[in-house]
Amino acid sequence: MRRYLLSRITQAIVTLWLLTLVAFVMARLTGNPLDVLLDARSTEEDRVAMAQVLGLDRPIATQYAIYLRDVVHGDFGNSFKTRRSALSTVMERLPWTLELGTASFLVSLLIAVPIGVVTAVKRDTAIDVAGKVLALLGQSLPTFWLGLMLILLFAVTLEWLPAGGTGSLAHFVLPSITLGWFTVAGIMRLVRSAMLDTLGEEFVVTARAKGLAEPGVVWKHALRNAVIPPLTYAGVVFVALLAGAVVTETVFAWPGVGQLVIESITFRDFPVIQIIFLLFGVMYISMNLVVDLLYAWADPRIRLTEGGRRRR
Amino acid sequence: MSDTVHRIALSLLLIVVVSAPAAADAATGPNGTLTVAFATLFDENLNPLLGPAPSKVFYDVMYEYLLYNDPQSLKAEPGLAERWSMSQDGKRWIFFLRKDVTFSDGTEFTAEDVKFSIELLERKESRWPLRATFLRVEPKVLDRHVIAFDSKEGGLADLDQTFSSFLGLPIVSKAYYEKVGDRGYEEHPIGTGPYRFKSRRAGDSVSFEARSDWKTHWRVGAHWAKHGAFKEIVFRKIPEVATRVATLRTGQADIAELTPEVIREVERVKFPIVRSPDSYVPMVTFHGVWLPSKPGYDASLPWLKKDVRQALSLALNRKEIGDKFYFGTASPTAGPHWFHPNTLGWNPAWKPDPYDPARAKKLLADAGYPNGFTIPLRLFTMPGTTELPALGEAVAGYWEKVGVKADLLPTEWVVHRPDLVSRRFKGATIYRGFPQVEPVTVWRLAYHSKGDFGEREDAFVDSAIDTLAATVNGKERETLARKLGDFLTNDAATLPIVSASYLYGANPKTVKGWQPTRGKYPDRFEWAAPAQ
Repeated sequence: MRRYLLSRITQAIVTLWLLTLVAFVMARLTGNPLDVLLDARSTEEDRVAMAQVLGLDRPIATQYAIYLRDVVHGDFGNSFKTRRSALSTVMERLPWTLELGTASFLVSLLIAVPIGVVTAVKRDTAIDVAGKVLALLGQSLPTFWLGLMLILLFAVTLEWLPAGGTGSLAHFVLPSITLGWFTVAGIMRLVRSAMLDTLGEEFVVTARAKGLAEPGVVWKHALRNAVIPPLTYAGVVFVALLAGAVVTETVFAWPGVGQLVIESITFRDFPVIQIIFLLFGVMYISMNLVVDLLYAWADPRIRLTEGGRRRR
Repeated sequence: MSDTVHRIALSLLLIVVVSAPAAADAATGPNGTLTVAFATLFDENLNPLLGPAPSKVFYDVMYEYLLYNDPQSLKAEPGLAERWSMSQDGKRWIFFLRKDVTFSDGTEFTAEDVKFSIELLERKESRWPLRATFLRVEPKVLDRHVIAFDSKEGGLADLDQTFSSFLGLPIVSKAYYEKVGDRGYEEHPIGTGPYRFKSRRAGDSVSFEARSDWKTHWRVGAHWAKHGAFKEIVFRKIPEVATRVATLRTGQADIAELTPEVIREVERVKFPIVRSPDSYVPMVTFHGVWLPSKPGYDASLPWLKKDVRQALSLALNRKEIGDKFYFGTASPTAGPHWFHPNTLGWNPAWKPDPYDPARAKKLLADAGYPNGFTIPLRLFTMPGTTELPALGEAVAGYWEKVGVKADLLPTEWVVHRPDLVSRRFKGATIYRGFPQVEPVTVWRLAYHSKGDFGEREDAFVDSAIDTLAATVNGKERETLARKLGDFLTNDAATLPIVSASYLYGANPKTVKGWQPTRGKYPDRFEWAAPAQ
């Protein structure tokens, strides 16, 4: 197990290093920050001065070496745009995205799991079809359009909820439905499929034979066993929700990392682009590492075949 | 019974008497919150050193300037400087500062603060648009409340807008800045304005609150006492225009930045549209035509000929563009780039070119292009004018009717700019100009052979701009500037399309008395007051 653990952690570190390289190169593909940071009326002298200030006058390899050295020491540099620490620039926006991601994740589960269960129980009926259509709508409707329609209905017409921004629990409702609904279809299908398998298991037949009420059989016994595969998938969905909130954040004026990504790319704010890239990379790597380790813990065959050397 | 009635009446009278002063105070002093919804808060910087001028959309309620501008005529008016003068040789400005001004921390405003403010924006890391212009002057403190700006090179007559609120020099506190440093000032800035910084939420909002000593504030004290004002102003970033309209309709915002396509919706729900008229002029600019000394100069480019440029202008139906594309919020206009009504050099005799495709075709045929030609047309957005690429498509449609094919090249300003500086691009763009109080500075950039973007090598143009920078006499300046404008207009140097307005929706139930300066990013929020 220790060898497997070391192997996976080494892989994660190498992936992280590659990620710094990709982040560095990708950031520079957005263009020259001086073109954005300086006004149209700036002179060439202004540009030379600003390049020196930002360290962009050095050769690209030197810039990468300095960047890597600083990252290893926990220094992610200062935002070109705000001149404040790039790390704190991202960190002051991250809580908004985490909160919206969590709320959306819960909305997603609250919609997807019941629909998945009901469509499995009522398989091949009108309810099954209706449930699948409802879930698929979330994936089919453009997030941008859905968000605006929800604003028009619930904020402008009914005046029940705020149109955008932050400040109270009510502000979470529309953006989390908009963002969360998109992922409903995937989770719902997994729940439905797992429930169909589970409902045919012997322990379910036994429970029914013992005279347990049908809701108890479905929601207590069957669902508890069927929910494991969807939850594994849901972990990845959660990170995807965090990384994919750009449109929702824009429509609802939500000051999260999604909007920061757009702003940073627009401003060619290399340090901030790099740190966001790294941040989501680390989230995915960590999530995969944890899942791999849990699998290895649960299934010894995995650590024997992937640890680099099979035990005898 | 009558005793009871008597006591009730007496109680009511007491309530009225006791609450009257409070009510009067509420009506005259600052109260309530003004929420302004903008598409962007730009860099969200509060320290002028760290941000470009657009951040002025929110921090002008906190910082003040040596000069202000009349919101309509744009003429310079006294600000922190109660008077100012220019030496006869055009090489020295002297500003006489007000003596009754304090920063929001209570310290006195002096000439040292002005000197420090300009030196701050001259620093290497400054992103201020006029850094290069500031470097042309040397500030000298002559007295506690008198400061001079001496020329290091050439004339300074073109610099009065440099010190105004239009583009100008926001005044920071030297003593406080030296105490807290760049970062400290960014985190908690102070100014001499009627509002002081309250809080900032990154990516979301910036808030200001009225100074407690507002009654004695030199600029707004008397006005606020009479007309009222908002106690707090919150500038919120709401990128999507449909969401901004929704926040306006639901009362989450009192003023919202709009775009032409939502005007009808806002008018339908009876919210007044506040226009900043003649804010900007979308136009066609030509490139690659006037610099024979540059390598790559191509004498065969069709748009090198004045008649061809004239034909391309006659092919545009400006009225239709104003009515249909801008939903009636823009009207046909004339004049070269950076010339605008009521500013230096504007000639009222200039009239928009008529829509005359037949004459356009004849001019093209006479110029040797009976079957038209292809012209690359770069399309990109600029802050506040996101419609320019779509307008470019409309322009291409009109040109196609006279046989000219526009090769549409969607790009970004940041891609176009380096080509503009190096004069690599040969074609046309859809760009915009906006009124300048003192446009000689931008004329130098756009038209002078040594200007950053200048595409001309014309002795008259160079000489006119150099002379204007050293001419103090107002009449002489106007005459020469108009001569320059006439020259450029007759040459069809650029094709102005329409005069467009920045548009805002305002909630009539919550806000009154707000009108932004013409041709400027939205400002003057310190003059807005609660409607009730």
